[in-house]
Amino acid sequence: MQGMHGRYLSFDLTDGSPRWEQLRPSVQERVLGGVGLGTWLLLRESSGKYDPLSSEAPLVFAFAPLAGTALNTSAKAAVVSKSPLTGRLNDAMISSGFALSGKGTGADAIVLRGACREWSTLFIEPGSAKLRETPELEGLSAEDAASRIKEDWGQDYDVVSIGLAGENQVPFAILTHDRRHAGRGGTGAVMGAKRLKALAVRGGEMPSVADPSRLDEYRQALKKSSLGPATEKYRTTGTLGNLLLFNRLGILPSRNFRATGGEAAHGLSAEGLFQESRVQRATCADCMIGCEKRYVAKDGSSTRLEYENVFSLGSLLDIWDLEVVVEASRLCDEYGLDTVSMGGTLAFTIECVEKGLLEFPGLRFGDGAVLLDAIQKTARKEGVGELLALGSRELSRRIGQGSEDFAPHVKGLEIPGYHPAGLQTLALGLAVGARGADHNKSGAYDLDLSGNVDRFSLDTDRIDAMIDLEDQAALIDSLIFCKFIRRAIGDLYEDGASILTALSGTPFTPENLRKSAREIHHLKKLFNQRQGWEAVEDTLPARFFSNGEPGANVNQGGEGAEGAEVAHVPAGIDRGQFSAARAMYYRLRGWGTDGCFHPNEEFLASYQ
Amino acid sequence: MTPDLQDKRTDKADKGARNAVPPGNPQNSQASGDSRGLQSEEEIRRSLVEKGICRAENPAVVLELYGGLRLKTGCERLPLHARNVAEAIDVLRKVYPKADNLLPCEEELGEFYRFSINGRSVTSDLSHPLQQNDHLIFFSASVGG
Repeated sequence: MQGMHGRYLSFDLTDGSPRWEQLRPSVQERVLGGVGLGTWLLLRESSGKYDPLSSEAPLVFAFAPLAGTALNTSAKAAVVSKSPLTGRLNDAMISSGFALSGKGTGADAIVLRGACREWSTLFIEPGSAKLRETPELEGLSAEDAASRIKEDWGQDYDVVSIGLAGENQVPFAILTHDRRHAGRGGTGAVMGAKRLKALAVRGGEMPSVADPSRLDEYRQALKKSSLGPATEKYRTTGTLGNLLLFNRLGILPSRNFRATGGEAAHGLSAEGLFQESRVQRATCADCMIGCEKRYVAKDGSSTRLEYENVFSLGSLLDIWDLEVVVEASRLCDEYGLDTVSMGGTLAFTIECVEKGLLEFPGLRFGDGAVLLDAIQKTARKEGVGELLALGSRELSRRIGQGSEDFAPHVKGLEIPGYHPAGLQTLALGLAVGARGADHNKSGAYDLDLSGNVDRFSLDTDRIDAMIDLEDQAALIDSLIFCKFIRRAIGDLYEDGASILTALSGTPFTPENLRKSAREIHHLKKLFNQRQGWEAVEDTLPARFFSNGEPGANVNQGGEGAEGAEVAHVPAGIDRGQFSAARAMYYRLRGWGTDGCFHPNEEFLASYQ
Repeated sequence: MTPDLQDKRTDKADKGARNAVPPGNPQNSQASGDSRGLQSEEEIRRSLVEKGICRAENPAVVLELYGGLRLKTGCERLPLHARNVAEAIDVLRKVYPKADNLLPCEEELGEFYRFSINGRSVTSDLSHPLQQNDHLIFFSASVGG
């Protein structure tokens, strides 16, 4: 299969030894790359149930077929591991130069095993993989560590690194490259447990392309289609464009999901920000969309603002002061913390204090100083930060007393900024997600806001369409494209097959890719089952169901203050509808009524 | 109406409508006698009717803009008369040529944009009927992030 190297590097950090492994074409043509390849490698390189922070835990960086083709948004890679936050599969995406240089090392994936004796950096380039002790980087932010590595060893290295939270193994610590992050599920803690401060890659060995001129035709066509209305939102406002709209639609969560919206939402919105502040636009390598928007402070420093960090460090905590949210985002980047889990865990903790389940008198909603202090303490695991660094699920287990009902997570992963009661197809997608509450792996908000279903209820007729969105997400994450370009691609399976055929010289069909997407979900499920997955995990906190806590889901106002009607979310999700929809989901996935995937011998043998 | 009363009412009910008319547009509110360029929703609708952009016998609705459309036009809410989604968007295109430049043709509009009626139901159907006092929320179909 051209377009990929057909081999991966397994590196043992304990003894510094590299091992090159061949990939069978029959497997690679099915798992493709990125998340598909990473999941398969995780299954292959691990056995039984294991501690994600142990020495034997694999950490996989999986590159992708499309990386290096200069197709718009294709400079992406996947980071796959067992999550210390969830105990389940975690597949996070990382972008830009690292994805290109990583593939350019001559490996389709890098699998890290073992642990370093001293804080170290692993340098990989074609024909070479060397571990160097770099204790001088300990305690630095991820960005500063990367700068030092480039200064000391060469500016042409692309570096993935961790901050203080990763060093301290906070289970929602992130990996950072070029001010972008593999954000969710704690990959930074997995790397920190290995005492690996950074991975530096230098490329130069890209695989051949079967039909360059045909591939160039697709490149030009995608360039044209992706600069039209399909990506207008991402180009103009970035993801922050969600905030004011979600406020209006009653799905912007506030006060630990007890409420939606806020009268002051305009102050955090892209619409407000772009009119009143200076904003810079930035792009990943090989991207013409430029979704990244950076708030520029008076001193010239800039901070990336995405919808998810403004939601989680703003509205969820009832904080509507842009300066506070910007500073909180900056601190999370500096220390290396996932903003969604940070905000979600803090919101939960504050509600516990309000209910008298915890004693931290200073903790309250709407207090920016509390937030800024909490972030620093969490990264250091000091004071209240020792509790916050557990994540909301583990913290609720320790507190008990019914707090499990409002701990805002699925499988331990904190819920992103989409109120599940107002987007009920997505609610199911979050519940059954392999890595927990993950909107990017589901994408079912597209269905909820398509006009084809009632977003305030759930039925079994829509499950086929919901699964198709999940499958498309898995395929996009394995080819890899950025999901922001999805509407610029006519038919993902048709176009994906044509592009892969031009790239690889192997005839791919839409049916091949549909099967691949389905099987990638099977592989994720197999990994989770091996780690102890149980059907009771495929649910949401009790708060979101219609017999949840009275007073939940009260809309605080939306844009009502400006004279518009306010959309109220309903009291909650109907448990009967949810159970029926979930059962249909298992059935249509080909899984048992117990929610388990029961593979036959042929399936297992084909993935050996 | 005294200037004071006008100010208070505008701040509450018509805050979003104050930018509803593009700068320099002859329908701007000098005609209403307001020296600050503020117009009520009804005044804006009447102005659009007088210019032949919409018809007074159609339901009075409010089109709400978000994201790039709001930034490009400077308009948060546009009061107008329309029987259905397509008519409302047609008015928007006529009042704001910048919006017309940004938006795809009518045949493709439903593919890339969505419309929520009063923040509840969602449609991509341009023939979806509108009722008196409806708020039509116009947003990009790309809602992820």
